[in-house]
Amino acid sequence: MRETYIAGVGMTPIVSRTTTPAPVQGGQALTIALTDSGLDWGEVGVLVVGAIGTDMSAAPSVLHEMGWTGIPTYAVENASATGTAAFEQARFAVASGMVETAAVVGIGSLGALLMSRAAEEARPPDLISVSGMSVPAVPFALMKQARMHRYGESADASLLVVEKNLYNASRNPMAQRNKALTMDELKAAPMLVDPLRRVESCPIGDGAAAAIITSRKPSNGARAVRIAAAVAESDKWHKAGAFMPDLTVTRRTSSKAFAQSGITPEQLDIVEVHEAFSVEELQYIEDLGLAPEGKASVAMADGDFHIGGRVAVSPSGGLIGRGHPGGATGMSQFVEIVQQLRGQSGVRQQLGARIGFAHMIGAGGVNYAHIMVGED
Amino acid sequence: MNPVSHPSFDNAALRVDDDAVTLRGARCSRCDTVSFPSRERCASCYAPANLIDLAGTGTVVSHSTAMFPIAGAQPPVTIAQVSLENSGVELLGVSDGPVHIGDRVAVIPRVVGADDNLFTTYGFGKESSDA
Repeated sequence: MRETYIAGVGMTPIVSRTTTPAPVQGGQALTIALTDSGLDWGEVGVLVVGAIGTDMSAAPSVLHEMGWTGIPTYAVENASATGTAAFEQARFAVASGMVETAAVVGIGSLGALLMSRAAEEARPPDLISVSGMSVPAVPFALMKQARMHRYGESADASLLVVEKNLYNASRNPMAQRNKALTMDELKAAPMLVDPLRRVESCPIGDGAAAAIITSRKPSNGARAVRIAAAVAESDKWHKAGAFMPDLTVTRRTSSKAFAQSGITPEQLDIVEVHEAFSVEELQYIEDLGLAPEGKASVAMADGDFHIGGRVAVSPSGGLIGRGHPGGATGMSQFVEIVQQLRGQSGVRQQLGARIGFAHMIGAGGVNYAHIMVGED
Repeated sequence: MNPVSHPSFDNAALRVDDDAVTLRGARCSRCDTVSFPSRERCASCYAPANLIDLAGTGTVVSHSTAMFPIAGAQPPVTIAQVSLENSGVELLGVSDGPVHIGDRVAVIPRVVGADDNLFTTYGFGKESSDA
């Protein structure tokens, strides 16, 4: 396999809703990424579109917002990990030698899909609806309760994640949520699925995010960002497999990514994880080896995972702050990490950032781990 | 209303008899893994699997309370994650009352659906509170 680099990134602001069609948003994000890369559209050999909740023919529709160059294009969907799944396909196209340069963009909103699933009475009962699992917050409320029992973690511990990520998002012009909240305000928020408060869940929105991946070190003057590890897996069967995500899969993908890259958890400067619900971030911090089991909230209270701390986790604001549009979610993690590794993140810059980790899961379930290294 | 007078919501998951409900699983002929719902081949290794009845009792390993309706139940709705005896299979389902981790519960029938389109599903009822 060849080395691969992220030559350019770009995204639209994540918003609660927009009348701009998804393919148009995709074209806007791609144009920013292409300009950032310093490459020409004619150099792009394939376009992969992560599309969720969009009309048919999403991939050619996005392509036609750019130039009709006749390159192959296709769409992929993998729930919340749709954008990351597209990124992985584009990376593989370059790494395998199929093309020199690939473009990838995530588009579409999860909103319409989740609304239709919530209308349970309109469809025959099934295992998912009768168990409450059709509401994504339920398994993570169970995860929170189990952590509280197992580790003695307080119900407020996961609010530290929300406090941190909303603060980061309040300084990110691309974020959907732009207001920081105090712990007192968070503690007063209503319950959604006790012990999980409504404010502990990510917002659903809309937006697009894109990247240009190439086999050559970029010559656009920015620091080169190499993809040092790429791992994709799906859930293995487990005792609660009919209902719950595989809670061991993040450990599997992350440990393989560390082995593949020769990088250790202690070397990470920037981490973006799939914290659709607050407690997930605590769990994944531990799964990645950034804190001992049951101790992530203690380290977070000490500031270890804030910007300026030991390793900045969700410096973009994460899914809770930046937002969770669907197709753009995973791709916006790569936008954040590349800009951080280039030193382009302004007031949110993690000083000296050189290594970043992107983690994403999708319901069903699928799991991805990517490590990026800024090279001099 | 007799909760077992309606057809099963899912015959692979639940058998409805005259006066009771029984969860259905499948034990792998090769690796001994128990799959739920029942299926012809193992969910882990895909070898042939044999239909078995699962235990009607288990232990709560986690729980939450939904502030919105869950098919057939009005808020607040207790959702229990239960490890069934013998197989260790973990089920999520609606409990007929509050539970704590460590509580023993029994599988009980529950009715879901609307109007003349009703089905029998499973839920949990607390046996004791020793948490």
